[in-house]
Amino acid sequence: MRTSWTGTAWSAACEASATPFEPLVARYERPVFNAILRLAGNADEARDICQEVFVKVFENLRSYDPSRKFFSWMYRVAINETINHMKSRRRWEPLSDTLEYGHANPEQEMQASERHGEIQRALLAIDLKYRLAVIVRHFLQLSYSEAALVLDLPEKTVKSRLFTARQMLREILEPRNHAIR
Amino acid sequence: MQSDSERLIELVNLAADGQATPPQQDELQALVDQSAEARQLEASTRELVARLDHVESVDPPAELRPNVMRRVRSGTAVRHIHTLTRRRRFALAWAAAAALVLLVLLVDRPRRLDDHGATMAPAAEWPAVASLKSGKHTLVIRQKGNLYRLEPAISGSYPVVTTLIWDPKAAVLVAISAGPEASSSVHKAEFTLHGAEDRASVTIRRLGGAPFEIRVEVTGTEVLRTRVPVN
Repeated sequence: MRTSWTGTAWSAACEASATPFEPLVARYERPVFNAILRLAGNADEARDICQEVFVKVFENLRSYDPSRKFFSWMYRVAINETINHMKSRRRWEPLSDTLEYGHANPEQEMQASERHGEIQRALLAIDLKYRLAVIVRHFLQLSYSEAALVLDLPEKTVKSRLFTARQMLREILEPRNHAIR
Repeated sequence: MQSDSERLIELVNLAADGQATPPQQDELQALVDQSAEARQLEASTRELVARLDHVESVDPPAELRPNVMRRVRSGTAVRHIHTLTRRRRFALAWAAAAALVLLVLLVDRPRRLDDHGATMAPAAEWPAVASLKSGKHTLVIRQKGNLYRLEPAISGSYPVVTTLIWDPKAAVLVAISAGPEASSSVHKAEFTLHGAEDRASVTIRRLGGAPFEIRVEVTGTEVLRTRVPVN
């Protein structure tokens, strides 16, 4: 069950002492870490980004609008933080032909199952905006309307991106069976 | 206006997500009954959605929550300073200034090879700005301001001699954490790794505003090279 943190009193309590914040980290660390991992493709980076996300959420509790769902605000912070990190990472250009960025090779955890490794490789091969649609729908397990809230997009656009993303993934995963476009 | 194939794709996806209304389900069923292509699309989309929904989630690192809470608690401690009396704030400000001076003295004094205490603890929390891979070797680079911590993970027939090399005009060695066999000069740090679990790190400070290269050699052969950009 998803808890809706709507109380400004709770935010105020966190400002006075960090203790009330810990259950929130416990509740959200798994989905947030996994979403970042699928988005960025590298466990070390995901850990660092995830840590920054929770600290940022804590530091910005005062600006949280209680009329919005807490999870949508938090996931949005996570996505923005990851995208910013990925943009800064692009500045690091490998000079050697043999070099690969970490995200080209899914981490050991994800390779526990070859099928899951295959999914991760396919995800990393599609454009970021389509990858995001898949991640919010399947890894954060949000409905279309919730995904639209998190991505700050019209629901119609989210659906369109999700359906296109699935087409792309099908083409990557089953290259023989993608006659319908 | 949607084409027939666009409509089919929409219906198939809505159905796979369990979001199709009864009329949409009927419409899809009619299309599936008529066309082998539609049946194939429906089956493969359902299979893909099931695969995506069943990807196992990964356990977050055990240190994640304690690290977050430690940083968050230190943040609230800072906020509490605002509620202190003026006299205590004055005293705390003097203490902070003294600590800062001490830190500067520690960082700037001549370094011995094992002198990394001043930078090791915070460096572990620096964000990884690059994770580079070349064959079986990786190099994680963490950054804080003009400090870069280089963390190589080298595979091979142990022991392996690993060398990190940089332009001495562009960067200077700050600390090396690599055991007693480590050595260094103005432009490189060299150490021996005795197994896959063996870890070493080198912290360097960028001197100027220009990008510079870092090279990694394993037993004298270059295995990785990257350019460090300027923020």
